[in-house]
Amino acid sequence: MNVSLGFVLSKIFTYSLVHDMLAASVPIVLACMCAVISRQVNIINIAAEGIIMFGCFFGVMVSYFTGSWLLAVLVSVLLGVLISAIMAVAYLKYEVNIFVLGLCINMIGTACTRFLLQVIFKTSGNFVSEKVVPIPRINLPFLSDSPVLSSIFSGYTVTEILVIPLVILLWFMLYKSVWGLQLRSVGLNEMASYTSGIDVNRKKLVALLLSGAFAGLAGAHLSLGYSCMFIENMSGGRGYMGMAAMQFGAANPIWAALGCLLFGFSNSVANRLTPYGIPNQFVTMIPYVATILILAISVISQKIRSTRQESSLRKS
Amino acid sequence: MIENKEKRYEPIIRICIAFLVAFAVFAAIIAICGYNPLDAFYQMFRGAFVGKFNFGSTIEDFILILIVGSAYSLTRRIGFFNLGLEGCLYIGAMFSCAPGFLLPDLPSYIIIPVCLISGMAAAAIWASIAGAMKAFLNVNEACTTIMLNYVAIALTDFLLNNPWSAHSAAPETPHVQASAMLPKLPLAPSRASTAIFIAIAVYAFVFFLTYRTTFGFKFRNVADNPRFCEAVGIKSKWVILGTVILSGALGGLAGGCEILGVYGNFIQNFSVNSAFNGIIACLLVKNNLALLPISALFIAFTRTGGNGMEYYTGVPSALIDTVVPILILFVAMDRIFDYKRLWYWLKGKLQSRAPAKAKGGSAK
Amino acid sequence: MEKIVEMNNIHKQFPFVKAVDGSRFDLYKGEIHSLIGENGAGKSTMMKILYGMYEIDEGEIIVNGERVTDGRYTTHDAIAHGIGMVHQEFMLVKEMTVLENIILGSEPTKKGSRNVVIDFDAARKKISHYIENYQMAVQMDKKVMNISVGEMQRVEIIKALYRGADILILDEPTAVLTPQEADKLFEILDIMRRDGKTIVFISHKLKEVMKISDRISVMRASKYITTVNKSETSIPELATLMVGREVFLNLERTPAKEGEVMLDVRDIYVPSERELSKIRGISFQVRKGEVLGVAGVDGNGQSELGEAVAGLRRIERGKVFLDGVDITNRSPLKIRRQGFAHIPEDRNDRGLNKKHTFAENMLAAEIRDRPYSRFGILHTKKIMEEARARSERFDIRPRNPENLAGSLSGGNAQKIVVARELGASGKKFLLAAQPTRGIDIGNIEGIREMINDAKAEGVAVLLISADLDEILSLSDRIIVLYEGRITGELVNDGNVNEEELGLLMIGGGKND
Repeated sequence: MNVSLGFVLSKIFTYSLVHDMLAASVPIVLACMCAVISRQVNIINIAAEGIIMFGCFFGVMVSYFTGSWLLAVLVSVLLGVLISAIMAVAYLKYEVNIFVLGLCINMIGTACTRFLLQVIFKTSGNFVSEKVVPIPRINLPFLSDSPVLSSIFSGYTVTEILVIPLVILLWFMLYKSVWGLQLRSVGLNEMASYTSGIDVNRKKLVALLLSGAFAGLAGAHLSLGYSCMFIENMSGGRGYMGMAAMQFGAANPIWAALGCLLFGFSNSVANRLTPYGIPNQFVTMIPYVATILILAISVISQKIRSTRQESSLRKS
Repeated sequence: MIENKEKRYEPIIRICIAFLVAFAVFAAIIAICGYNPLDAFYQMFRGAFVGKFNFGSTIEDFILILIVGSAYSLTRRIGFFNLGLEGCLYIGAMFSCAPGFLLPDLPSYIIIPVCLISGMAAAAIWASIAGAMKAFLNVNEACTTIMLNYVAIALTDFLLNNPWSAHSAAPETPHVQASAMLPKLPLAPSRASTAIFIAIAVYAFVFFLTYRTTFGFKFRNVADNPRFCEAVGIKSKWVILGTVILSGALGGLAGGCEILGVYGNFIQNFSVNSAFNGIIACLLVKNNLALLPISALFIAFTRTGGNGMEYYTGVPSALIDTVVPILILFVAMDRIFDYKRLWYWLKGKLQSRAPAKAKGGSAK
Repeated sequence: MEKIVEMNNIHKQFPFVKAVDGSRFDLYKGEIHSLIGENGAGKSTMMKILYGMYEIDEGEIIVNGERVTDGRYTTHDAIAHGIGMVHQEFMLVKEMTVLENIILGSEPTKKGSRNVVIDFDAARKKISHYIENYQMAVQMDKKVMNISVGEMQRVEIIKALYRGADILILDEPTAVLTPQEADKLFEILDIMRRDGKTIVFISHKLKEVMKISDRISVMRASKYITTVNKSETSIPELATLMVGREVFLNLERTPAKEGEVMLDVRDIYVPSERELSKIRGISFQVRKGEVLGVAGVDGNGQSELGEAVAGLRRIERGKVFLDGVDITNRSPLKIRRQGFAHIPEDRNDRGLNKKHTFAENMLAAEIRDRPYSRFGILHTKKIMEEARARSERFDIRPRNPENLAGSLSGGNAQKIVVARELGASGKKFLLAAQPTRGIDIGNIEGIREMINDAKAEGVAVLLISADLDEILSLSDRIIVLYEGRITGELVNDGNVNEEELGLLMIGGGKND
C-alpha cells in the first residue's frame, strides 16, 4: 500500500481525534482513580482489571434484565465495593500479599465473567443485545451547525461528563479536606498517623472500598458507555494502564488524569493507523512503551533531584 | 507462653481444610447450575488421568507448569512479583522457533540446543528490562512486567505476521525442521514429549541453586534485608537483576519446550495466559519448593480435567478457572480456617452443657 | 496531691522478649516524674502502653480515676484522656508541612463545611498561642524534612499540647539535642509544670534526671524497682539501682602502638538526606594498633561518615585510603577484601538478617570463599563447624548455630555481628559504629573487650559512638564531629576534660 505520509497524517489528525481521545481516556481515568486512592494509603492495587470485568458483565446483565442503565451502573459500583471489601479483609486482617490478592481477583474476574456468560446467556465470546440499554449520550443541539464544535463538545455519555467533576472532587477531598489529610498521612507515615489517633486500618479500608467503587464504575462505563456489549477480556489492560498513569501523576488525581489522556491519545492514534499498512503491532505497543519510559524518566528525574538536594557540595 | 510456636503439621491441616472448602464450593455451584457434581468430578478425573491421550495431555500441561513454577519460585524468593513470565514465554518460544526454520537442516543434537539456548537468551534479555528497572530504579515490578507482557505479545505478533510469516491462511510461522522436534513420549495421540526430562532437570536445578549455592544464599538474603546484604558485600541490585534474568531465561525455556515439544511452530496466541498457571502453582504452595511438583500436577489436573468435564457433562471449564484462584486466596489466608479454635469452642459448648465432666482440656 | 495515673501489675510479652514483667507506675498532678533504666529495661514500652500503643497481656491502667483497660484502649483514647507522647523516633510525616503535622488527627474545620474543609487560619492562631506561651519557635509552612532535629522535637511537643495534653510523656528527649538545646527544653518543661501540666521524662542520663525531676522511678530488666523523691537520692544511688550491682566499666586499655597509617581519610564530602548530617571536608588518619573515637551528638554526620568509609554511601569529593590502597567509592565487597571489618550501627538494619540462621549470618561476608563454598556450591558442614567454633570463641548464647538470628537477645545478636567481623583472619581495620547500643551491661563489657583485643593484635579501629563513656574508655585519640565537620581533636591520656569535649560537641572550638 503506497500512501504518502502526509496523506496518512491528514487522515489521522483530524478534529474528531479529540472526541476519540477523550472517549478512549475515560475508562482509563476511572481505573486510574482506583489506583490513585489506594496508592494514597500506600497500597498498590492491581485488582482494577478484575473488578472492571465484573463491572462490565454486571452492567450489561442488569441493563439487559431491568432496562435501566442507572440501576446497572449502581449495581456495578456496589459490586466493586463488595469485591474490595473482600480484598480489604484478606489484606488487612489476614495479611495476604497485595499482588497475590490482585492477581487472584483479576483471574477470578476473567474466568467468572466467562462462566456467567455461558451459564446466564448461553453464549461465549461476546454478548450483544438490543435489550441492553446504554448510558445515554448528551447532544448539544445548538452546536449541530458546526461539525467541528459538535464533534468536540457534543455526544458524550453521562459518565464521560461526570468524570471531570469526579476527578476535581477527588483532588479537593485529598488535598484540602480533613479526610484527605488523614488519608494521605496514613500512606506517608503509618506510625505517625497512628500516634496521632487515626485509625489506620479504617482509613485503608475506606480507601480500598472507594477504589473498588471507581473500578466498578469504570467497568460499567466500558460496557454500557464506551461500547454497548460485553466481550470476554474486554478490559484489555485498562486497569494496568490506569495504574501506570497513576504513577505518571505521582498519585495526584489531576496529573494522573492528564496521564490517562496520553493513553487515550496513543490508543486512538493507534486505531487510526491500522488501515494504512503500518504494522499495527508497533502502534499497539506505543502506550505500553510510553508508560515504561514515563516510569523510568520520572524515577530518574526524582533521583537526580534528591541527589542534588542531598549533595554536600551544595550551598545550604 | 510464647504462642507463635505452632506445630509443623498445623498449617498443612489448614491448607487441607482450604482445599476441602474450595471443593465444596465448587460442587455446590455445579449443583446449583443443575448438573450432578459427582458425575462432574468423575469426568474431571477421567479427563485428566484415564487413557493415554488424557494422561498425556496432563503431562503436557505439567511440563510447562513445572518449568514456569520453578522460574517463578526464584523471583518470588527475592520478593519480585514476576508477572512477566508470560512475556518471556512468548519471546522464548518465538526465538526458539526461529533457528528451527531459518537454519539449514542439522542433526538433533545440534539444532535442539541451539533453538533452546537462543530462546533462553532472548527471554533473558527481555526479562532484564524489568529486572533492571526494579533493581536500579526501584520501579514497581508488577506494573512494568505486565506492560512488557503486552509489548512482547505485540512484538511476536509482528514477527509472525511480517518477516517470519509462513504465508498460510493462519497467522503462524513455518514449521521447524523435523530434527529439531523433541521426541514424543509413548503416550500418542497426546502431544506429551520428552521435555518432561528438561522440566525435571529445571526443577532440580532451581532446588539446588536455592539451597546449596552461594548465589542461592545471596538471593535468599536479598528479599529479607537488602541493606544487610549491602553491608556484608552482597551486591543486592545485581543479585536482583541476575535472579530476574535467570527466571526469565527459564521462562523462555518453557516457551522453547512448548514449541519444540508440542506445536512445532509459533501460532498466534498459542498460549493464552499459560504462564500464569505456573505462577498459580507456585503461589498455591506458598513457594515451598518441595511441594511444587505436586502443586504443578494438581494445576495440570484442573486444566485437562476441566476440559474433560466440559466436554462430557457441559459444566463450563471457566468454573474451575474461577475456583482455582479462590483456592489460592483460601491458602494465602489459611488462618481463616482456625480449626483449633473451633474445636475448643465446640469442646467448651459440650462441657457447659454437661457440667458433670468437670475438668476437661484447658479451653483457651 | 492528686494521683492522676496509676498502672498496676503490667505484663507485656513480645514474640521473643518479655518487655514488661509485672511493673507499676503512678503519676501525681503537676509533677515531673522521671522514669530511668538502661536501654532495654522496658521504660519506653511501659510508656507506650500508657499511650495506648500496645495492648497489655495483664494488669490495669487507671487515668483520672477511670479504669481505661476495661475495654479496648487505643492511642485515640489516650489522647482523649489528655495524654500526649513525644517519641524517641519522631512520629512526623516528612512530606507534609509542620502545620499539617501538628493538626493531623484533630483538624479544625471551616464553619458550614460539615467538618470537611480544613480551617488552616484557625489552626495557625491556636498554634501561635503555644509558640508564644512556651517560646518554642517553629516554622509552620516548612516541610518537616527541611527542619532541624531540635525543631522537630518542638513540633512534636506542640502537637501533643495542641491535642490538649495535660500529661506529656517525653521519651529520651535529650538524645538528639545539644546541651544548650537541652537546657532550653528544661526551661520549657519548667514553664509547663508551672502551668499545671504533668510530665514523664524517660532517660538514662542521671545528671539531667537529677536536674529536673520531682520523683524518679527506676526500671531494670523489664521489672519495676522503686520510686524515690529527688531530694532523698543521689546520682550514685540511682546508678546502683539502675544496673543492679555496682558496675564500673573500667577496661584495661591497651596502650596504643606507634604503627603505620592504616586508614587515611583526605578531605571527603558526603551527601545526606539531612542538611546537618552532610559531611563537608573531613580529614583524619587511623594508625595500626590504635582506636580513634568519633564523638558527637547523634545526627551530626557520624552515620554518614561510617557509611562513606565502608563504601555504602557515595563520596562526592576527597579520597579514602586503606593501607595505601584507594578505596574511595569502591564496592563494599572490594573494600572488605582489603581487610576491612565493619560493625554497622544498627544490627536490626544492616547488621543482621533476622529471618536467617545464626550460622548464615555469621559467615555471610565470607560465604564466597573456601572452605565455606567451592565453585559457588555451599559446603554446609564446614559452615556449621565454623559457626559453632565462633559461637564458643565469642560466647554467643544459646550456642546452636541453627537458631534464627531474630530469636537471640540484643547482646548475643550483636556478638554474632562481632564474630562475623572479627572472627575471620586478616583483618586490618575495624569500623565499629555504636557497637554496644541497646544491649545489656554484661555484653557491653564483653564487646568492648573484643574491640580492645583486636586493637592489641594490631587492628586499626575507628570507633563511632554517641556514648561518651565508651569513647573515653576505648579510644586513644578522639575527634569530635559537629554538623559534618571536625571541631576538635584530643589525645585521650586519661585526663580529658569532659567540659571541653562537651563544648566541642556543640560546635565551640578551643579558640572560641
